[in-house]
Amino acid sequence: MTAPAPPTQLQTSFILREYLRPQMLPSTWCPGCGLGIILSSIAQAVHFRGLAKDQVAMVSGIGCTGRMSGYADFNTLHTTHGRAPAFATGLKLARPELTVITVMGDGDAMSIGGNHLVHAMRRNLGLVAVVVNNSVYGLTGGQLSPTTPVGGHTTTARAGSFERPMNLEALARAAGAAFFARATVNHSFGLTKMVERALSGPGFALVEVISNCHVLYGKMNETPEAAGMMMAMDANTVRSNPTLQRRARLPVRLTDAETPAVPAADARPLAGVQTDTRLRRGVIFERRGRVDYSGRYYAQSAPPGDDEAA
Amino acid sequence: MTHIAFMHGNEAAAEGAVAAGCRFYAGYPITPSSEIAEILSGRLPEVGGVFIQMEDEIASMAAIIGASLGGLKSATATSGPGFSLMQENLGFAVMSEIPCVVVNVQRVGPSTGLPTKAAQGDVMQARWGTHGDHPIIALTPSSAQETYHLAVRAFNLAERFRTPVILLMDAIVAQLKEKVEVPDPASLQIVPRAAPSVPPADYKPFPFARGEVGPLAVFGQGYRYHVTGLLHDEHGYPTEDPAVVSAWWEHMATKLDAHLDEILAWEEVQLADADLALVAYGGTARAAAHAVTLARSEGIKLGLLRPITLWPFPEEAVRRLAGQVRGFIVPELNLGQIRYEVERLSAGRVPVEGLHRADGLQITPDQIVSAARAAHARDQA
Repeated sequence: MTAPAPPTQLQTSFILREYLRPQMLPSTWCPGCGLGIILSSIAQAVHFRGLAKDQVAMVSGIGCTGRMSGYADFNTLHTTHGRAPAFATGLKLARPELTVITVMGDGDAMSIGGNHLVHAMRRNLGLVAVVVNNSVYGLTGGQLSPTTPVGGHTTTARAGSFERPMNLEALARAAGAAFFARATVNHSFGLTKMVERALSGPGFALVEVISNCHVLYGKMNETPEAAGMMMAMDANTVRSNPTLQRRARLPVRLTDAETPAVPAADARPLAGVQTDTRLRRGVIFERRGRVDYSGRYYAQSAPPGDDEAA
Repeated sequence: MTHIAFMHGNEAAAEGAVAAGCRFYAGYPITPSSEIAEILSGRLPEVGGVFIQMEDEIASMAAIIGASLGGLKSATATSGPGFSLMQENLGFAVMSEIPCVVVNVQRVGPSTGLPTKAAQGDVMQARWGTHGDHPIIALTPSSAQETYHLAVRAFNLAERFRTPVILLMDAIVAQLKEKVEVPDPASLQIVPRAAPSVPPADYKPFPFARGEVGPLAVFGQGYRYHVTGLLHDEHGYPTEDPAVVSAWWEHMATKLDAHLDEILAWEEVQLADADLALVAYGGTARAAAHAVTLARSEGIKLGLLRPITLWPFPEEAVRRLAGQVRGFIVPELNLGQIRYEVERLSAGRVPVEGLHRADGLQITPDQIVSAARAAHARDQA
């Protein structure tokens, strides 16, 4: 599909209130929750992209993040748990001219909705997904999530989680998403810019936002205040520099057969290989241009409501 | 112009859908319904529609709801196991009053069951499969010809009442090739998607008008509103206010019941003088109709009531018959799902006998005649 038109004039003033539904406020979110920052960043990205509210749809699933669609003054669809990408796929195919933004939490996107997310990334229809990752099930009271870190305490992992957390970046890369970026709510300006870039191109664009649930996750993991949890999120992430990382990767290009077997006890980090376990923030990858084949769904005639695309 | 075609029920369902204005199909392959997807994957792009094969039936149901909000008449087709997966979002379509059509070609269950064998075991799942009380429409055809017409009707009812409509087929009808008179498209009555006539500021997407539904605005046309699976007010905003919730229930409970005369359909075969009545539907009704002829040649006054709308059920027709006949026989390819309805409605006035099988084979006219003979002999005794 055609990319959204670039802004025709410089957008300078952003008034958040114009993108909210006052009758739905106050929100159900806890004081200090990062979701308000994320909603504001999405609204700013829409604003600075010059998109009309009528031309934007927000599709959400179930959970604290699922409630976001109720507060945003777009065409909004609050669906069932995990299914938002599938609803969004139908809507986007029916109205390709709409900008469709899917918002999901970590459990919504990676646990119950994992299959839908994988296939939405594989199809690469022009959808934008914002996945809010706070490592925990918030709305249901602090249970284990697919991104709870090893050792993280939850109400269903009282001794600390021992399962390997889902790696959304690797999943997005493998499934063929066009764009993947990661931000934290601590860096809202960067988040806004990433959502703007996600909105600007064809294919499936995924923005993972590390957010805070100090009320549930933080309380069980020594960061019961929003500020403390945000500082922890800052310490656990590092700004990405794709160029340097590409260079660092160059010399180590071993196939499985060439890789010497190293007994686990003797394993040492190889020189030049990133050993930093901190999650990277920033645009992690972007592969545009050849990924979006959504026009192929309309074999014999123009897509409904879009006279220009054939 | 009407033309004669040779079609199986699945093909008739697909062609009927296209004729009714279906322009979006999302589905997942499953026997014995896959032909519907195969045919529509070719037909829909020809008519400017969209076909997509989704990752599963959950996603298929979700996608057709999304596309319907985008203004396209939408459908999916499946069979028992897939129908189970669709129940979650079927409930979403009920709650958010989004028109769509779900074809379920029944096979023997539960679980994987007998995938290639006909059954009618999803009758109660069609009624109560999704959680919570809710209105639903389910139509059941007995021939390829009727499948075509009921497919058209399913889309019309979905638009008229803003509800999911289930076309409940069985593998007998779905896989049987027979003559179909394909009507001239211009001769078909098609209910278009109603558009709001009020400005966006005055638009209520979910009006609680007793027994009526309002128009559903298409996303992206200036009516920005909220759609949710949560219980909501007339604007779509979630609410827990018992007064609003009660008003919502009042609306939901009456939106079909106030229009039964528009919805209900059934066929009566030689019931006028019958003293023994069959209640049969779908593929089984074909054997039942033949059994009526056979029994009458033996002097048994047998008749047939064939529900075409299974849900809502033609209750008055059964109640009336219960005052006329000396007994009911209900042949069906399950262990008695519609028999329960007939028992409930005849309320002990006359005996209700089931003739059931769920072993993958069909009920034959001879079996039905044997049951009629036994009932007749009992009456004479």
